[in-house]
Amino acid sequence: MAKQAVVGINEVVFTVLRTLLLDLPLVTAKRGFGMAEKRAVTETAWKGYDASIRLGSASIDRLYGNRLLGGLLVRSGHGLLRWQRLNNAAMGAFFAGLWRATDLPTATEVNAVREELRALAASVKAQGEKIEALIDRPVRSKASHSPKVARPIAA
Amino acid sequence: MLSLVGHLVRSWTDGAIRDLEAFRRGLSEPFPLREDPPPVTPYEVVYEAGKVRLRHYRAVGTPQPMPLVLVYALIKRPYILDLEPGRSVVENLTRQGFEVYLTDWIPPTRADTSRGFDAYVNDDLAKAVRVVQIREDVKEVAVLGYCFGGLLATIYTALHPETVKNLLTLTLPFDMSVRDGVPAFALMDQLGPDAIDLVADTYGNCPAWLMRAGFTSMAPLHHALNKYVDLYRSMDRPGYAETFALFERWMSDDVPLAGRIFREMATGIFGGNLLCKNALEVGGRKVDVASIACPVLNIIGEYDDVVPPAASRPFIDAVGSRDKRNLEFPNGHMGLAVSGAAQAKLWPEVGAWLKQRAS
Repeated sequence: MAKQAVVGINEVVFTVLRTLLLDLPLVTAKRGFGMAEKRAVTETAWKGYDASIRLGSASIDRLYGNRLLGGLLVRSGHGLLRWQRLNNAAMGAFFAGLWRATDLPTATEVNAVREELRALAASVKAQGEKIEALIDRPVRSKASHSPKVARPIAA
Repeated sequence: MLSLVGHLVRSWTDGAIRDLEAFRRGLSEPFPLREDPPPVTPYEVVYEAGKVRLRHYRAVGTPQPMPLVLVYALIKRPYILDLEPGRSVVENLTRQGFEVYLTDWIPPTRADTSRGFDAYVNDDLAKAVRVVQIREDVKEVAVLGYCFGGLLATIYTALHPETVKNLLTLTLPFDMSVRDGVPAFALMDQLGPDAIDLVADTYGNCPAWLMRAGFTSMAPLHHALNKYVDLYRSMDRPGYAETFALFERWMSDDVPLAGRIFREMATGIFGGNLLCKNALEVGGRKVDVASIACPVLNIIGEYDDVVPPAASRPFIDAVGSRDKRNLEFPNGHMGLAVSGAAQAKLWPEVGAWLKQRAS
């Protein structure tokens, strides 16, 4: 057993009761009459708290050994886990089987379509940039740079 | 009084948020690990395969001839061994001149439900040790296992004795017939093998939230209330709040346990006490603890309320080594790794023990 101070539950109960019913009222009264410092009240209060925690822990520890509680937890745990297995199986069957029968897309299919759309959008954007680059390119004309003027036809 | 109430409300809210986030992480697949806090001691990952990532922490100064492999547990994250400056086992050992290699186990996914002791010991750990042998050009290494990691280290040493120079175990859960000191074991005993199988069949692996529930049940009042009150009472202690925050973060960093090793651990080691009875088989081979002949140091926490000292002490009598002893230190399960006293006294003693047996 760990080398902690192993205190029987009865002793802990006694410590709690003594602290809360005797020590704390006494030191509070002394404080009221100026016969004790505030620190004494605080220390006594913490002593009561510590003893209460030990009592609570000891009670829970005893509860763990209780067959009734253990049996209840085991039965309810079994029930919950079996229900969860059934739920997992039913949901799996529904989404794998019936979902397809309704012709609704699965998440994988929707994501695939999204990826296609993204790829298309990127392709369109790239094409657009190419076209803009072509439009902006300066036009290179031939030997005569002046436009041809229409000559009137001789009568 | 008002300040206490205000502090408790704030602390509880922080704790509830941590717990809910841990629950949310545990429900997701693949398991979304959040990043560990920044390491105190720098390292490099020198090997990754299977479910192990091997970290190398360089020795400070002239390195010792024998490298040390720290086998961490499969539960929670390993940064508890490198928590903060002055509270780091890794930092302490590297400053003593040891080349430290730490097994950072990768949490299992649904694809890993069939991983048991055989996969973790004879595959992952064996290969990690092989990497250390090659890198350090040695035939034998020192192996130190912490809690569940101590089980892995012990099984490894029994099955691969030619590679282990010295074996150190820290809070090793050896004799699991001991029930005194951990009342929650009485409740776990009532669960039975059916419940274990049902958990593994439902979830594949043992989910992280269930691991957390198990540890919380060992001291529910402490986790629900007392640790926050202690934080209030210790606010004047320098560094307490920062260490508390880091420690709480680690406490909520549970990871799943692979389905098969969960069954083997719960039914075989915990329920059947197979290791202590010399009846454990891993990979078709019997794990004979008596065949361990290398020097053994078994480190025990006198106030350990997770692995009772009485569960760890008999290990020394079971091994076949001549050079062996128990080293009991007045601290708890986690205190052996993070407390100032352990850093100042325990780990230098461990280092001295190793140095005497390095050649």
